Amino acid sequence: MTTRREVLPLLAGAVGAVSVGCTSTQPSPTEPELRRVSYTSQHTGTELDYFVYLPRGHATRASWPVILYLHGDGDRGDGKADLDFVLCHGPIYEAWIQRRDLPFVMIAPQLPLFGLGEAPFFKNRTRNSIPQRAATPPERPDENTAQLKQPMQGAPLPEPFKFGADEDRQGWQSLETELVSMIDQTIAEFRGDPRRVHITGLSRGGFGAWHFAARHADKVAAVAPVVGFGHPDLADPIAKAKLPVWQFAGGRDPSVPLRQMYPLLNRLESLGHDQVRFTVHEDLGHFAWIRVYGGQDVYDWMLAHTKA
Amino acid sequence: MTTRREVFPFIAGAAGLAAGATAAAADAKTSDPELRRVSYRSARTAKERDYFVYLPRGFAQQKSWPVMLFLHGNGERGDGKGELDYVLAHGPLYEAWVQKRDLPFVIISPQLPMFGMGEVDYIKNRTPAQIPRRQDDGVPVRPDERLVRSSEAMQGKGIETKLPDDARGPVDGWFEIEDELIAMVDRTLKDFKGDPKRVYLTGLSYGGFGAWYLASKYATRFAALAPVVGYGHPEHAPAIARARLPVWCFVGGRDPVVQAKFFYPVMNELEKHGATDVRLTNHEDLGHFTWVRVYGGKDLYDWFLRNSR
Repeated sequence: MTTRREVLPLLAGAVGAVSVGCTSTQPSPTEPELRRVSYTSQHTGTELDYFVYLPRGHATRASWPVILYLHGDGDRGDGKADLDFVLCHGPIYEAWIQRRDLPFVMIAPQLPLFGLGEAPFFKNRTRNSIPQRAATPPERPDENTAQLKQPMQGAPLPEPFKFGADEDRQGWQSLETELVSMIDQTIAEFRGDPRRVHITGLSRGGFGAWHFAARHADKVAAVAPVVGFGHPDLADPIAKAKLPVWQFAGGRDPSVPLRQMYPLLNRLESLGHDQVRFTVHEDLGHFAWIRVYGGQDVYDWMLAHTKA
Repeated sequence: MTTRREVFPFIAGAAGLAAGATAAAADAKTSDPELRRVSYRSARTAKERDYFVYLPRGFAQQKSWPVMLFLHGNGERGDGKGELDYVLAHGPLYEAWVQKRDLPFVIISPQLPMFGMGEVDYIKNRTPAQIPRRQDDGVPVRPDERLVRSSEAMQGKGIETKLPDDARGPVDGWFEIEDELIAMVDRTLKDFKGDPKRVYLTGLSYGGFGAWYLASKYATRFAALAPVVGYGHPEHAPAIARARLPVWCFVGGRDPVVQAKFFYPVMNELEKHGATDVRLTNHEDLGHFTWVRVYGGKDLYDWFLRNSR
């Protein structure tokens, strides 16, 4: 954690040109930190850990925006030795592994296996797949790796949903009270700004982000679910709070079909909610999150929102 | 082709200040952004016309710069003289000059002649008062990205392979002055320290069609192509794929003017020809003004800068 070379490589020229002359006079801000915080889960009855990322200069500012990041199915684990798997993807990967100075305190908990341990992507995963923070960040994985054989084309609306809004029982909804406590604790102990708590997640974490946002619309300043849709029955509280939404999808995602995204978004609009964004990367599959979190726009959008 | 500097008519204060300051203090400190007018003789119209060249902050301090050629939409046409300022209304030049963002590109912003379009209502009824100004202090609010949007529910629009136009795109488009556009790029490389390996091509609506067309004709001249709310023709695909030109195309899912269903054929054709760096991003919630989000963000510019020939 000693490197100060955090300038985005692609903009090195421009950033250097602009910032030359002012860097030397300022006191050096604190380095980014990755902390582990322990808690007892009501749901599992055991002690689990989650990560809290503290951005560069954390000590020098009184209040910080917060991102609660919910990972996808493949990064589940015991919240102890397995916790590092949550570094594989998402904003925490960008901040910690890619060493981007994202100005948020990030909370990254881990979802227990809940009996899914026999699924191939758990059985076959090894710790070697966990990316390491290194002086020079690694290349991002290929966002195009899914099998994208079908042509690009606009997807129609789906059949009506055959399940309810609260039926993702192996998903993040089971840790709902735990997530609330994490946010509260982060606000209390890590200078989190209660008016700027943003929630995002990918795949199973996208479902979780929708669910949590609907249940706690009063706590959240913006929600950005990625390759995970929400149930239309979640619309009311989100629309009522006019909670800004940015949904992302991969147009060729074989795991979470794009067409499932439309019903909730349309329901939100029909309820008068006018801050609903929906961006489809038509060329991508399930790994669309690499582009989304690897960019800057989703973070800038979050930073533009503060709860009244 | 003679080049000369003119004070920018509508924002004389800001432009004059920048010009004076740079001349005096160019060596001492980082140069301020500048908006230059460059004159040229248009073969197509047989008249002298001007185009804008934006020089980014610190231009004088760096030897070589990425170049962006921006092609505007139908509503910003004009005579390339008194009407040139209309091209400041939208796009990357609007972001750099009016929104005062330090985009690290030399931006070329030409104007498409009126040709037969003078009677189109939004051109006929436009006034210079609509042209956004670079303010002394602060920046104006961006236009609403939700403008020109159909009220229908969001859903995929399917694919339509029968396109309304041939490979040149809609009538009276940028293809009419393709030679002049390439000459502008060449001149900018020479006169404004442009890096020939980093010339990026983008445009919106009519300019999106123009960007596709120009890229297909001069694919090896460009390092990346980003057409916004303008689709390509399958005939563009072989040349672009052969040149391995990275493409990022943007569309608004509720655009009633340039509809999403027409965007897919060229993208699929590119992949058929082996292109691997092909992106199509659909902002399903937006209409024709999708460009406000695209150019107002940062991801597109960062993507440009990652690509070089």
